[in-house]
Amino acid sequence: MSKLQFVFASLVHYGRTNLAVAFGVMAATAVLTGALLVGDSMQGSLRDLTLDRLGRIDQAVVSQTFFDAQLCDKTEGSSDFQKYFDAAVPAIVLDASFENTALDPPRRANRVTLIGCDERISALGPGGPAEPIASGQIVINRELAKDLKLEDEGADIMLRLPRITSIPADSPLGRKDETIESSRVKVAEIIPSEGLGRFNMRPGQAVPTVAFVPLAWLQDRLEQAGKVNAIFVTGLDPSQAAPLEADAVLPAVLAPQPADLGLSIAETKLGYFNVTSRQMMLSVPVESELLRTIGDRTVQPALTYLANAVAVGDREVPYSTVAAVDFSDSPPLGPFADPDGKSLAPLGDGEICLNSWAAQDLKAKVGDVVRVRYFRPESTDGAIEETEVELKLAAIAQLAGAAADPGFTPEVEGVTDQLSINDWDPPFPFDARAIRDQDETYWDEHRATPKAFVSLATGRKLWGSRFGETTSLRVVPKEGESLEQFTSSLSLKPEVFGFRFQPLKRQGLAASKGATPFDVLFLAFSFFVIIAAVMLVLLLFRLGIEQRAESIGLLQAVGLNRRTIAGLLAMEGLVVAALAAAAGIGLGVGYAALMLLGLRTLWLAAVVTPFLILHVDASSLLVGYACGVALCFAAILWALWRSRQTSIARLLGGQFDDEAIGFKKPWAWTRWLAPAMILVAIAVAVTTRGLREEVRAGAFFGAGALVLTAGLLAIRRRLRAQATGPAVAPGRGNLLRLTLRNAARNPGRSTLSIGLIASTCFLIVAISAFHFDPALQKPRIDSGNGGFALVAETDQPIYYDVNSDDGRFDLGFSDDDSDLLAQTTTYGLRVQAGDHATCLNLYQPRQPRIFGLPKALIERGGFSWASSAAKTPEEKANPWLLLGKPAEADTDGTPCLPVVLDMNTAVYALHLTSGVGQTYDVTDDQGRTVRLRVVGLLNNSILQGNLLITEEALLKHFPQVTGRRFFLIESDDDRTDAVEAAWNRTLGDFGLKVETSGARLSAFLAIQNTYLLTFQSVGGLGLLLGTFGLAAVQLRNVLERRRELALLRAVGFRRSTLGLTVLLENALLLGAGLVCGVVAAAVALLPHLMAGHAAVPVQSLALMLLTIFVVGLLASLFAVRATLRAPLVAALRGQ
Amino acid sequence: MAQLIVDNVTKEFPTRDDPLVVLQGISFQLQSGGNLAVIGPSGSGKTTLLNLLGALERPTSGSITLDGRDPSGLSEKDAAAFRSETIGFVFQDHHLLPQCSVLENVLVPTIAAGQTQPEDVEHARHLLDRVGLSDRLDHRPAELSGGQRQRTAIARALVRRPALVLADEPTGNLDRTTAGQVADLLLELQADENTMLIVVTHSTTLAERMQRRKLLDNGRLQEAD
Repeated sequence: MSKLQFVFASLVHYGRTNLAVAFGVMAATAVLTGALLVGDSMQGSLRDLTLDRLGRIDQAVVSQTFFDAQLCDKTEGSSDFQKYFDAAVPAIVLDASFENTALDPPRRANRVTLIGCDERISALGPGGPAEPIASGQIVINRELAKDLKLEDEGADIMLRLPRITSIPADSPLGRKDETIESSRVKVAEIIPSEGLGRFNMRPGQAVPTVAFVPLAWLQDRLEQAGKVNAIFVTGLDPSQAAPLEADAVLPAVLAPQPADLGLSIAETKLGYFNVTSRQMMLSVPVESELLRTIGDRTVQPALTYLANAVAVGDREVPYSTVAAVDFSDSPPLGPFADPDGKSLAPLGDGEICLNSWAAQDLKAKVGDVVRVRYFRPESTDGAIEETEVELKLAAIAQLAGAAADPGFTPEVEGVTDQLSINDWDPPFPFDARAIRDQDETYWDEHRATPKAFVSLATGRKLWGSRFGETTSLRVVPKEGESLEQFTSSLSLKPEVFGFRFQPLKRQGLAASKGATPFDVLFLAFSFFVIIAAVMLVLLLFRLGIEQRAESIGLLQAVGLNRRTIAGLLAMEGLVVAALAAAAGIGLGVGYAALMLLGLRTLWLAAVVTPFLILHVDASSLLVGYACGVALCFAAILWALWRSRQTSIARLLGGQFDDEAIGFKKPWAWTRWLAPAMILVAIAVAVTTRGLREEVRAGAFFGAGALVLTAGLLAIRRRLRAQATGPAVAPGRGNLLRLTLRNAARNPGRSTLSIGLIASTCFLIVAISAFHFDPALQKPRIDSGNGGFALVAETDQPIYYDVNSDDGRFDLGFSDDDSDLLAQTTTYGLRVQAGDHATCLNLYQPRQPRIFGLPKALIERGGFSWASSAAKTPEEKANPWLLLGKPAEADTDGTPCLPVVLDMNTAVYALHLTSGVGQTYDVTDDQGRTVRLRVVGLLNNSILQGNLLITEEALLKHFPQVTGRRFFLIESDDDRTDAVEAAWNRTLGDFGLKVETSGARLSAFLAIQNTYLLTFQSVGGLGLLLGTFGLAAVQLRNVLERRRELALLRAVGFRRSTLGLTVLLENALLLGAGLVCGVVAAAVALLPHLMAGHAAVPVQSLALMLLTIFVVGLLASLFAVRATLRAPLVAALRGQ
Repeated sequence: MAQLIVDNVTKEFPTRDDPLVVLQGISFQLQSGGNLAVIGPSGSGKTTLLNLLGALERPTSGSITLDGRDPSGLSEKDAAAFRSETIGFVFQDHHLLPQCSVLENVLVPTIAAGQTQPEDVEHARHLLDRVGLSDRLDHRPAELSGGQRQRTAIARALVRRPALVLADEPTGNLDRTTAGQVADLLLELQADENTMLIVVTHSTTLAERMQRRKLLDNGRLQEAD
């Protein structure tokens, strides 16, 4: 007989035992494979979703400014384009809000992606509008229809759009009111939320709300005839992203004209080319880019600003433009001459030059003090502030030549295009009564020609802002150069002008890897199931080899050495493991399907949308198989190694264990070990209060582990000392005493069983305590809600201060609402749009939203902090102050901006696992990298998902951000509902969403709570498997004791009484495990319970533990059954 | 006075073919204070007879009456109670509980009775004193010699003051000297307790010390002398 034959003969003969081991292996492999498949399915489903929502779209060009739609055709015609792409489709993409006014109260839907498109949209993929959309009609997706409670097509709904303005609203010439454009549209079609029907530029698994309107109609409504703000580019293969080198194609072939970039270039009468911006100001990066491309031509930057008044003494000229320019001597930019024809010297700092008209009107002479009144160049919360500067009149310029140039002043809609000053419709406070006849005459003759000049440096100091410090670049053409030649010679980088080239498909597919590694998460969730399964394998395999102890002894007795026998058993174990693991893979697919079903139903909150479908990756099956076999085979080898010492005589006697032979006195010092560990645990729990979150988490598990170990040590010590009281004593209760003594028969085995149950129980209890509902939490300054009762967000920025009476008046609040809001305090935050980075989004975000925090909020402080870089007492009391201090530069010298963010966002969305001190790069308005350094992490806060920096820093790097779109509202409890209603009543048109901070936190914590629930459920499964392990131990005990049990029956014990002793013993071990686990969890939780961070759901927990106890007892019925069926006579005869 | 009456007992075991007749027409009687040795070659049915007498198995036909009661018709529960009250066992292998002390092992049968009385404890101590283990009360079986373990088993068999003690090769695992000592003890205690004793043994030495000896051969019982 060969060894292989022997192994197969044993496999068959001990088929039942091997089958039991195989079940353990299958369970371990199934759980391992299943966890990996859950990860695969998550990534696969996210990928499917990405491909579905993008259709054929591969890349997109999105611009902050509207550009000529024909740019699309030019781009499409390029051969480079055709090499990688198929079609370019122009569109307008905006965030809009809708209202179904037919309902009372009206239903509102915010943050809807509105796409203005023509018939070319069908090239982007399936799922879009089926037919061309008629003017004034709209096609919406099912999700939007659901939000608006629209059942049927044909209904009218209200569409609210942002009014497109060129000049930033935060500058005096920018419009702060009438920023919303409303239109009534008819719903032509409700399309399924699939394909383009769930189009979203930003990755997210939640079903977005999408609407389509005719491009021409939208252009008309926005007063952007022939213009678009986006181009969608389709790829050649919709199932994958275009290759990396294709990313360079669009920036290269897209050739926007200056007008597309918001620039105006005009040839002036004086012969120079005047480069101005539709935004009035040329931003610093735009100016740099222009200067770069203009090259060696002579350029004269100028900054022209509107003075409310220029005064000398008691005389003043109203509403005059003042140009900041460094005088040039030669044409066409000069010369600037005094009334005598002499060239003017350059103006110094604090000096002003009036033109001859103004000097005459003011009766001013050189040396006079000229007062210039003007609005500050940046307004905050709609508050336009007038200020005055005194300048020395250094010269008077002839109103002729270069000084009589209206080209200094850029076109401002509603101002420079008006025939009369009285017709001005400026967005700033304007006093038409101040206009005199001579002013109108000047306007008629010279339009907006500056009446005064200052040096460029002086002008920039007075009127430079985050929007720029130049209004025009005055370029001297090259010899014979025409305007067309000049314009075509400019090679401007569109990125600088706010064009964004986005490889949507590649980014989406990359983001599909997910923010959370679900395979790792579910492996962690399944950890205890895997451990329990492996322990089961260990126990069952050992049980198997113990069953054949005599055979093993015989093999040794007839001359086979231990190594050979172990080899034979190992080979048998390996065959069992290999075969069972193969079956386990199949079960693993089922386990994954079950987990996904859970994520689509019971644990839906963890993934927000039921989008997950099973994806089976061969590599995961292979890894699961290999790990399953390896783990279980290791357990088998361990079982073999443990049994190596048993003597042949004992083996022949059918025995393996030596532990139960007699009493072992424990070492004296071990008496103090358990109490010492408990003391250390308490010390750890107490001393780590208030420390960093990681430290407290470590302390939590450390204290729990210490108490658990102490409990187990104490139990083991008592069992080893047989200190369980007498087994028999006068009176009743001897059965229980005997049971206790039985448990002490094998202290190691009993302690191991208790430990397995206790450790799993500890985790389940501990985790359940962190499952809490923040909706029940009142606003408290040091909590996750920061003391704010309400949180509001708007789609469109709000430019007025809700805290001021004037601001509320300008926003349109009624008197009653205004009085109500006067009793609240609102902190408005600036928002730079970005990816959704809360835990509600499973995709990996590229760049989260950035919030600019106002100084008042920083000084107010508050929120619960997980950790911070605070050093001084002031910083420790209010870590927000760290945002205002310069952060430490990076190791390569790159300056860093301090940033605060929620710990969940840092760890799970952005993977900033090192926490405080770590850096994170974002891209600013001009495509430049800005490095942020984490100076603080918030704990479960309502600000989750956002990068929090100072308002000042935000505006520096994102100057185009205007107004405020995120609001934290302090309000008394009893007024919260009324305040919420007041906001909704008045600011609904802005796409307002206002909610209680509790509701917001609940939504965030639903994920965490669901993860905890998942962990608990899968942990419970592990605990159940552990109870089966315990039952296996009991079965083994019963088989070991079969002769003793037979003796007991011979001396008068009934079968049922013996069964009861086995059941009682199991109940004792189970109970001891549960008690140990609960006590350990209680000690570890004590500081958290005292601090109010945890709450034990007593009822549900008790039910779960009771279920486990009952299932454990039921599992032990196997052992009881074995006891009852044990052949009495045969056992007595040692057969 | 208790009496054991074995009347025409037959024991058959079903096989694939005809039933295997192990015992056939076994009849004998025994009074309190009497003892009997059953000897016979291996496979002659000695242990089966002992199991029938001990109510561990039921006869195919015939009856066994102990103290006027026939346990063959009893339920499992009543049979267990019957064994607990009236029969004591001594096996070749002592079958002591390794997790219990010597005294506890002796008292184990009292647990089956439902409640251990203080007099049970006293009686157990007395018996252990009689078998010479009064200084080993708290020792574990693993700490005893083979003879000491078997003496403990004898004390256990007598603790409930049974009417009948059945011993299956009680000295089979012991050396000659120890076997003699154990036999002495068994007989002394049987006399002291005025119980019946039936010993199944291969040992002629032990058998010769019994008042009566019967030979079991081919399932039939006959006088050995």
